[in-house]
Order: sequence, then structure tokens, then C-alpha cells
Amino acid sequence: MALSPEPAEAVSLRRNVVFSFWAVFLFLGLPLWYQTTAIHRTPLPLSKVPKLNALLESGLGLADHSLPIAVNLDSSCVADAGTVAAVNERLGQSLLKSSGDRNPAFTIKVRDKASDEQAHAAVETAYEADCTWTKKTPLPKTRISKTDKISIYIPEDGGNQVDRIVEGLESIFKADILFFNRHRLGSVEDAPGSILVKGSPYSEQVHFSFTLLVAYGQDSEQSLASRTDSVLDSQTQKSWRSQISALVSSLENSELSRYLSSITYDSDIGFQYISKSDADMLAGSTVTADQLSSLMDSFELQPVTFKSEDSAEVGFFQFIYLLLPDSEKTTRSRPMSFTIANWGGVILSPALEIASATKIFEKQIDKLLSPVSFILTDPTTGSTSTLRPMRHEFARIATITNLRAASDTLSALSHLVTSLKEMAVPQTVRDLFDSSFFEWRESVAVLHGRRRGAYNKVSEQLSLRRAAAAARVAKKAVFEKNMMLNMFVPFQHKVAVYLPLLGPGLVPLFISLKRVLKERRNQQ
Amino acid sequence: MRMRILYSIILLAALLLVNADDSAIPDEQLQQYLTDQLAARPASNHTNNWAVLVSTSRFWFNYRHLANVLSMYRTVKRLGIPDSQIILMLADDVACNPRNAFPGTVYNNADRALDLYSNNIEVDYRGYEVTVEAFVRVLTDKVDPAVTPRSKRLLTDENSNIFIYMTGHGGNEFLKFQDAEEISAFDIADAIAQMWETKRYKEIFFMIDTCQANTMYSKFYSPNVVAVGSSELDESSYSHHADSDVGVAVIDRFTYYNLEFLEKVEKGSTLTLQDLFDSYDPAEIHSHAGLRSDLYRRNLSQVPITDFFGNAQAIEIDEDEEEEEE
Repeated sequence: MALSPEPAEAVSLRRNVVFSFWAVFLFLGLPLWYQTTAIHRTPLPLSKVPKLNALLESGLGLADHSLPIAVNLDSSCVADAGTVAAVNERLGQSLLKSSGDRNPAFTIKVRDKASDEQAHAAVETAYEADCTWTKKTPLPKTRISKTDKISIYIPEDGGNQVDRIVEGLESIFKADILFFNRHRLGSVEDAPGSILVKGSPYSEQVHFSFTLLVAYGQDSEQSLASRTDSVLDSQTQKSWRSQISALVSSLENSELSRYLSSITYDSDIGFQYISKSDADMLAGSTVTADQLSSLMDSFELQPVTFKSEDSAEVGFFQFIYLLLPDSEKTTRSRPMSFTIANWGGVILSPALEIASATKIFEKQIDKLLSPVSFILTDPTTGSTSTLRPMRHEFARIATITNLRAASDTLSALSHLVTSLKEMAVPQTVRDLFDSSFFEWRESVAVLHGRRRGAYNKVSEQLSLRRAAAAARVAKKAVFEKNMMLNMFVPFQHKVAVYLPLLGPGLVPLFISLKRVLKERRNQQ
Repeated sequence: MRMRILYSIILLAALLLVNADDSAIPDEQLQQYLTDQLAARPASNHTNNWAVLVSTSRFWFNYRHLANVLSMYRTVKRLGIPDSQIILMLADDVACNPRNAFPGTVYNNADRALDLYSNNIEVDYRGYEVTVEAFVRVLTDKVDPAVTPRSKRLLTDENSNIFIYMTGHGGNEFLKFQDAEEISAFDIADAIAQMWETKRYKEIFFMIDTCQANTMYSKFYSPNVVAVGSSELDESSYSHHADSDVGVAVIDRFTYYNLEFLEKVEKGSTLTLQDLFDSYDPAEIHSHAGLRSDLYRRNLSQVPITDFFGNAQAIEIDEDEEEEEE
């Protein structure tokens, strides 16, 4: 018996029902399933992280101070001036780039303010970097003192010795040596009654001064005389600065100005100068110490008064280091004054006990360098020696350390989030990330001295607090308890779980859809 | 016909998708990754030792798993790791089980010479606290410091050597927790990767005693991890012997022979990890203990066993005398 044809209404109803199921499945079920099973991953601005390290490494806006270490070319290893020049250039380039290119030789000379132990450690560092050196006795049997001049020869196939030496020096001086400055300094000849400063673009001694990152604003390429803002908070230091400004201003208007293209304020105890041009230096012009002294005498500057530890009042001026005598010696160009190579000097007025002024000046340098204290044992004699205690001036180094720690932690977070796709990233992590980033930038901004137009002890502490907060918050972000790795469910397992669950439900859906489509085709 | 072709295409696509996710890292790539990672970290000696000891099994008949862990607990404590640096996770408390003929005790030998459950143990996670999530949180320190006491946290740093011991019932790439959930080899591998990234360890010695145990460390990809397991893929781990008075097996074979070796180790011992691994005898253990050392760059015959089981360590000297005085 043939079945009577199905009424059109029934067919239509069935079609509507099937399409309704499909509509619910496609437009409600699938999005709901996706939303409820997807891992919540708040997008993080990870591209910012590498920039932090780049900014830190470049040292932009961070002033530098020269450590009392010079790496000098050893002229004994080259034959003539032309070769010296070529070697200088190559050595300078390779040092500047830290590329580890082959270097014929260089000399480590440790200046006055470093200790014997630091001198020994510095040479030992080079020695450990597979460099040979002028003394044949193996380390550490030979003790190096700061007065020794040690030539270090980098082997022909040397790899990254320069980097290793720099790293070693960093650890010895507990400092962050971020980049080098190369200074061309004049060679020095002693003449009766005066010190001659003779310029030469490639003199025998080319000084590479390692720089220590410190938290003082730098106004490079800016004449100090044009500065009007107050940089130092201490009244004394302000006074110093005003006198130095006057001195520099006078210098710029004097006949010496032809040697000065810019003067960079780089610390509270000294200035640097940059020679106008190599051509000027090549001309062989000389300036005598007496000329300079008479110039300074004509300034009629009032001395700064200090109370020394023994309560004696002393006064002195700070003296910029236009004169560069033998870098290993403290040279007295006048009876009551002294200069320290690369560090400036002191001229006493009126004539007081020089030892008191020297003591204060040394304190300033020590404060700046933050020498570490540690006990060293001489392996040959077994005797121990203790260096001076650590100064409480680690704020700047601690700031940098914190900034590095924060950027390292954020880098780790970035790596975790990108490598572990199943890791949930809640909004709190984003908030902490942003907060850490903000603190980081604020700390650097304070370091730059942009915030308050100046950098002083207060902002130093502020910068440190900001940096510490950046490190702390970054750590909080990476250990955020809700940023858990969802229990690993590989794709095979997902298929294995969802197929049995969804498969039976899909069968009637597909069959009904097939039937509806078939009916529609038949009707047509 | 067209439908048949369509079904074939769908089936093929499904198969391709299923096989697409192969998480095994090529060996060369892995070694390069390890080299890069290790180069980025300064070389130093470990300065502190930690242990994470986990028994994942519940119920009385799994007495031996608790005994396994408590035996290891006793060993690391004997060799110098203090309770404050041991995270002990026990999924059940067989000592107080009504079926225990010797209440308040746990023995790992039928001679019952040594009570492992004396009054000198500190259990950090017990009973239903022992979950996969809790274990992963301990490793990665993803805890809320406000509510989690320090004694329940693995407060390691980048100079910490960690000994991780796990025992329970497992299978291919998984270990059961509490008879209710399981942790996979991927979970542990990723947790250790997080630990490495967040500088939470220097070296890890991972030991696991369960069926098909060697599969549990097969997915590791983080540096400085050495791992041993009790049995191969498709191979069971067996118990050593039963105590007829207690009524159940009291220790597993792999752990038993490890302990037999470790009992010879003293604090100043010169025995090395290689000596321990050489002592494994498949005839005694009744399974093939496995070793994974491709993530570990030190020569195993030069690594003192006390680097993980003891508390011998290099000392960090604080150079700041003034701060010490303050």
C-alpha cells in the first residue's frame, strides 16, 4: 500500500525544526562552547620589554664618572708613531664595540685612588682571560701593587677577552660599567718651572676611561655657564658649583677657550673638557701651568669653607683638570694646591693645612666611587688586609640593580607567556605589568633629572624606591597566583574527549539536514 | 558517492589534526636551547637544598606509598636537609587508619625495626590538600602569600638544588592523585620550565616510583634536570614485600633498593649519583629503572649524592661588614 504523500505543512514544519536546531547549534552552541573552553589570556604589551633592556644598556641620559683606572696602549709593543696611531684606532674601535677583535696589547695602570688589592685583582682578571703579561711570575704568587705598570698581551686568537676583562673589572669595583669613553689626552713633558701640555691626536698614551653609571643628570654638549638651575641640594655643593661655573665662564672667555669646545658637568667634583679639534691639538700649542695659575688667581673667587673632622676650618676651590700630568702621581703645580689626573684638584686659599682639604677631597671621591670593603688574604704570606669599609652611597648602583632585576623578571614573564600557550593570563597580571613598567620609566625619568629639573639626593632615593617598586611589582606579576598553566590537554585528548560527547548529538543533526536538503532538491 | 568523498576528506583532516600536535622537541634544538639557557646564567655552586616528597595515593592498601615517601623523608633529614626545607605531601594518613594493627606507626619493613611515623615529622600537605593543583602551585610558587604559611611554600632561589620524589599509581605519561585526578608528564615538564624561567632552582633531581614511571620525565625540557624512574613504558613497578601483621605490602622495590644504597651515604660521603644509578639491578627491582641525563651537563660520576640528598653547600659571604653589625 502506497503511502499518501506527506502534507506540505508537515514537510515545512520539519524543515523549520531542523533549521532551528542548526541555528541554535551554530549561533549559540558553538560560540558558547568556544567562550567557556578558551583560556583567558589578557594581551600584554610584551614588545616593550626588550626596549627596557636596550634603554638600560645604552645608558641614555645617565651621567658617567670615570673610574680611576686607565687602560693604556703599551707603546713598547709597536715600532713607530704611525703604527701607534693605527693600533690606537683599532684598539679603540674594538673596545668601543666590545666586539672582542684581536688586540695587540694594552696596559693596565691603576691610579692612585684604587687600592693595591684592586690593582692586583684587575691584573688577575686579565690574566685569567688568557692574556699574557709582562711579569713572568705566575699569579697569584706575585702581588701587584697600584704602582706597577703591567702590560697585558691579548693572544692573536683571543676571543672575548676584552669583554671578560671588563666583566672582571665590574666585579672588582662592584660597579656597572656600561660603556667606555675614549679620551685623547695630551702627553706630558716636564719643563723647569712649568708643566707643558702638548696636544697630539695620537699620543703615546690613549686613555680609555671606564665609566661608572651613576645617578646624576648629564648635560652633555651644554656649556656649564649657560646653566641656571640648581643641581646640588647641599649648600656647600651649590657653592662649589657657582664658583666652578664662574671659573669655567672665565676660562671660556680667556685665551684658553680655543682648546675648549664644550665642558661637561659630570659630577659634583669635577668637569671634563672636550678638545675643540684635532687640528688645534696638532698645532702643538702649549699651555703652561703658570698661565693657568695666574688666570685662576685673577678670578678672585671666594673659597668654600668646610669644617674638617678635627674642627679646623679649611677653604678651597675646585680645580678642573685642564692639566694632565703623569696619571700615576699627584702633582703639585703650586705650593698649596694639587691636582689629581682626571679628577681635578684643589687650590687652597688662603693657605691652610693642605692635609685637611685633601682629606675632604678624598672623601668626595670615595663617596663617588663607593669602594667596597673586603678582607683579602695574601697567598704567599698568609697575611690578611682589610680595605676601608663600604660607604653608604650605593643608592645609584642599587637603583640600576633593581632596574635590571625588574626588566629580567618582565623578560621571564614575557617568555613564559609566549612559550606556554595554555597559560592563563588574568587582567591582574596586565595591571601589575603596567604598574611595573610605569615604575621603571619613572625611576629612569628621575635618574634623568627631568622630573624636577634637577637631580639631588632626594631624587636619588626616589629613583631607588621607584626601581625597587618596579622590581617588586614585576615579581608579583610573574608569581600571580591566578596565572596558572591550565592542566595540559593536548589536541589529541581534546578530540578524544569531545568526539564521543558531541558525535552522537551531531548524527541526528546531519541526518535530518541531509533529508531536508534531499526533499528540497526533489521539489525543485 | 559525493558524500563518501566528503566523509573521507573529513576523516583525513581529523587524522591530520590529531597527528599535528607532536610536542616532542628535536634533540638538536633542545640541546641548543639548553646551551643558550645555561650561558645566560652565571655559573655558581648551589647554596641550599630542598626536597619535595609526594605520596599521591589514598586508601589503606596503598600503605607502601606512604612508607616510600616517609623513608625518603627520613633519609634527607638524616643527611641534613631541615624540615623547613622539605615539603612533605601525604595523600592519606595510614598511621591513623582503623585497620592499622600498630596505630600511629608506619613501617617500611616487616621487621618493624624503624617507625617512620614518629613524633618528629612535619606533614605540609595532607589528605585532600594533596592535589595536582597544590603540587603545581608548590613548584611554581603560585600561592597567595597572605594565606599560605611559609612552611608550605617552596622558597627556593636560583642557587637551590631540589630533590623531587613522587610515588603512587601511574600509567603512560600520568600519575594519579587521590584516585580522583591525574597529573601528566606535560604538567610537570611545564611546571619545571616555569621554575627555571623564574629562577627557582639550580639543579633538580627527579625520582619517581610508579608504573611506567620513565614516561613521566620524558617530556622534560628544562636545563639542569636529572631524572630517574622505576619502570619503562608498559612495565609495572612492584612492591618489595608484605608484612603479614600489617596485612599489606610495606614498600616498593625501586624505593627499597634506593634506600638500601642511601643508607650507606653519610654527610661527608664521596658517593656520586652515578654510583646510585649503577646500583640499580633490574633483576632485583623486577623492572627497568630509567635515567634521563641529557638535560644535565655535569658528569654524573662527579656529582656527590649529597648535592641533592644532603645539605652540603657553598657559602655566600656577605662582604658588607657594616650591615652585618647593624
